[in-house]
Amino acid sequence: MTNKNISVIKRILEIDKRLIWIIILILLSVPLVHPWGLPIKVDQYVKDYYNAIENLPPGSLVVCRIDIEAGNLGEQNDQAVTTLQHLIDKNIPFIEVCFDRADSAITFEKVFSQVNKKGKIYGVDWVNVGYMEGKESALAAFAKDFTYPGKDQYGNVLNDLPLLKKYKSMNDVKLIIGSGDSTIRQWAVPYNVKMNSFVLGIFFGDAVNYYNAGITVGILSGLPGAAQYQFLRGTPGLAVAAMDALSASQIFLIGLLIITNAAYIYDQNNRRRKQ
Amino acid sequence: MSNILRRELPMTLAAAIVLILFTDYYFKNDILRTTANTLVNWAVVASATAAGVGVLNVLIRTTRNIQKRESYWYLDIWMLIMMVVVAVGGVIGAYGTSILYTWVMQNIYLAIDATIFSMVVFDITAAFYRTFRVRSIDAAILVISAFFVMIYNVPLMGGLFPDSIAIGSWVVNIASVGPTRALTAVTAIGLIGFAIRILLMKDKSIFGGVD
Amino acid sequence: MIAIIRQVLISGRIFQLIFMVVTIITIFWYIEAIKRGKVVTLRSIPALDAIDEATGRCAEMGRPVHFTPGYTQGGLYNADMGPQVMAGLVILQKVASSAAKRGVSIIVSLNQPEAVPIAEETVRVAYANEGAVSPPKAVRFISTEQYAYVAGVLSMYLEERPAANVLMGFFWSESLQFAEGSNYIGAMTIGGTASASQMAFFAASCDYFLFGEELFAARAYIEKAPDLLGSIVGQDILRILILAITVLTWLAGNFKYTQLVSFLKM
Repeated sequence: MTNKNISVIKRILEIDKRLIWIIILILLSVPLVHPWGLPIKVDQYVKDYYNAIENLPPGSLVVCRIDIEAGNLGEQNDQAVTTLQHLIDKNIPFIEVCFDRADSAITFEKVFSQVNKKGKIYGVDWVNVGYMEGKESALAAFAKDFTYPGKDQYGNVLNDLPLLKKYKSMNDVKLIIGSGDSTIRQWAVPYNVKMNSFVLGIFFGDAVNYYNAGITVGILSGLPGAAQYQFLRGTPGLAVAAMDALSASQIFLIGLLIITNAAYIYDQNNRRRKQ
Repeated sequence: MSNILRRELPMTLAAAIVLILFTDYYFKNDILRTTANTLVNWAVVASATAAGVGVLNVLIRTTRNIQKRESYWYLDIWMLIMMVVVAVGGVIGAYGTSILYTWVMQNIYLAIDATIFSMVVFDITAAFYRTFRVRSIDAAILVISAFFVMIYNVPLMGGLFPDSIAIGSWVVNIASVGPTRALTAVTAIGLIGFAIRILLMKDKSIFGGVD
Repeated sequence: MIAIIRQVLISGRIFQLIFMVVTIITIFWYIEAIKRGKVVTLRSIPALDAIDEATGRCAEMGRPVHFTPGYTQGGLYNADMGPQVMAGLVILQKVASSAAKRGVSIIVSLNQPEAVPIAEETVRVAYANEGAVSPPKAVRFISTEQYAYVAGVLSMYLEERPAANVLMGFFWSESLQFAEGSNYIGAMTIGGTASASQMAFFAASCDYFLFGEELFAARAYIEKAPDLLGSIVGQDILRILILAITVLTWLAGNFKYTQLVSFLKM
C-alpha cells in the first residue's frame, strides 16, 4: 500500500467530526429554505391515522392529550397542528388536556395559535382543560368525569361549558388522540375507545406494538409522520419540506457509513497482511 | 437521629402505603379507592414541597459560588435574577394572566429548550461515525441492519424505490419488536423484584447510607 | 367461586394478581433457599466491576467522578421513570464508597429535588465510613426541566472535567448528550438504563454499560447478600415462567384454544 493510500484511509477514518457537523448543518438547512419537492411514500399507519379522523361520524367527541414538551416542538408541532386542523375542518368537537408537564399547556397554546379556527366557539366546539396534576390517577379521574378538574385553562368553570354539559365522560368519546402507555392503560383499554397515537420518532418501536395489537388504530411517528399526514390532507407544510432535509442528511450518513467501513476493512486487512 | 426514625419508620410507612395502593389496583372497594386516591394526592403535594428543597440547594450553592467568586460567578447572579423573575411571574399567573410569565416561557424557554434538544443531532452523528464500524461479527450485523434501517428512514427511497425499504421495514416492524417486548417484560420482573426487596426491607440503601 | 372472585376483584386484573402472588412467593422461596445454603453464582456484569476502575482513574488524574441517576417527568413518583432513578441512587452508594476509599471527590447531579436528601445521606455515610468528610457541593440539584438539567450537567463537564462519568438510571435524549459530552472531555463513561429507546445509545457511546434488568440487580451483584441474591434467582425463575406462558399462548392461538387467552385476560 502506498503512503498516499495510507494517508487517504487514515483521513477517512479520522475525519474531524466538526466537518461532519457542518455538512449535516448545510444538508438540513438548505432544503428547508428551498424545498426540493422529493416524493414521499405514505405508510399504512399514517393512512389509518388519517382515516380514523376522516371517518368519524358527525357529533363524535375526540379527547386530545397533546402533551408536547417544549424541546419536542420541532418534531411534533406539525403533527399536532395538522391533527387539530383536521378536527376543526371536520367540525369534530374536542377536549384537550395535559398530564405530563405544566408547560405542556403553554406549548399547546403555541401549537393552537397556528390553527385556523374557522369561527369555532370556545366551550361549544372545543375545550382546553389545561394541565392536570396527578399523572395516572388524574387520568383515571378525568376519564370518569370530565368536570373533575373544576376549571379549565382559562379559569372557566367546566360545569358551565356547553360542550361538557353534552359530553360527561370517556364513555361518550369516539376517538382518543395522544400518546403514552398511561393513556392506553387508563383510557383506551378500560373504556374500549379507539386511539390515534402521535409520538416522537424514537418511540415508534413502542407505539407499533400497540398498533399491531389493535389497541391503537393509527400512528404519526415524528416529522416523517407529520409530513405524510400533511401530504394526505393536501396541506403541505414545514414537515414536508423537512423530508427533503431528512433525505439529504440520511443519504449523506449512509454514504459515510459505507465509505468509513470500506476504509476500515481495507485498513484492517492491510494490518493483518503486515503481521 | 436514631435508625428507627431515619430508616425503620419511613420504610414501614412506605410499605403500608404500597400495600394500600397494591390492593386498590386489584380489589373493588370504594374505601380503598378513596384512600388510595388521597395518598396519591398527598404524594403530589409532597413532591411539590420537595421542589423547595431543590431551590434551597441551588440557592446555597450559587450564593457560595458568588461569594467565593468561583468560575462564571456572574452567570450565577444572572440565574438568580431569572429565577426570581420567573417565580414572581408564575405566582402572579396562578391568580390571573401573567404576561411576563407567558412571554418568558414562549419566547425564551421554548426556544432554548428546542435548541438544546436539537444539539442531539450532532451527538448522534458523532457517535454514529465513531462506533458504527465492522470490528467484529456482532458489529457487522449491527452495521448491516443500520444500513437497511437508514434506507427505510429515507423518505426519498420510499417514494422513488418502494421495494428498497422492505428489509428495513422488516427489521423495524418485525425483527426488533420481539426483543423489545422481551426486554420490557424482563425489566418489569426486575422492577417488581427491586420493589419487593425495598419494601420488605431487604435493601435499605434507598434510604441513604450502608446497612 | 368464580362469580365471587369476579365480584371482589377488578375484571381484567385477576390473572395479574395471581402472577404477582406467584412472584412474591417465588422470591421469598429462593431467599430462604439461599439462607439455608443453596449456592448461587451470578454472571459477571463488567459495568459494575468497572466502577472501581473508574474511581481509580479519577484518583490517578486528580479529578472528580460524576454520577447522575437521570431524568424523570414530575419527580420520583413517576411510575415509569422513578424506579430506574431509584435503582440508580442505589448504585450511587457503590460509587460514593469507591470514591471515598480512593480519596476522590464525587459530584452528583440531580433532576429530582426529592432525591437530594437521599443522595446527600448516601454520600455522607459513604465518606464517613472511610473516615472522611463528603466534599462540599457534592450533591447538586440542577433543574426539574429536562434540557435545563442537560445544560447544567454539560457545563459542569466543561468546568469540573470529571475523569469518569457514571450515568445510571432513566434517560431520554440526554443519554447521548451526556455520553458524547463525556467522550469530548476524555472521561471514562459507564452507563446503565432500562429505557428501551436509549439502551442502543449507551451501547454505542459508553465504555461500559448495563441495561435492562441489570440496573435493578446491581445491588445484589455488588453486595451478594442472601436476601438480594434470592430475589435475583426468583426473578430468573419467573422469566422462565413468562417464556413458558408465551410459548403456550402461541401454541394455543395456533390451535384455536381460546380458553387460555381468556384466562390470561381474566
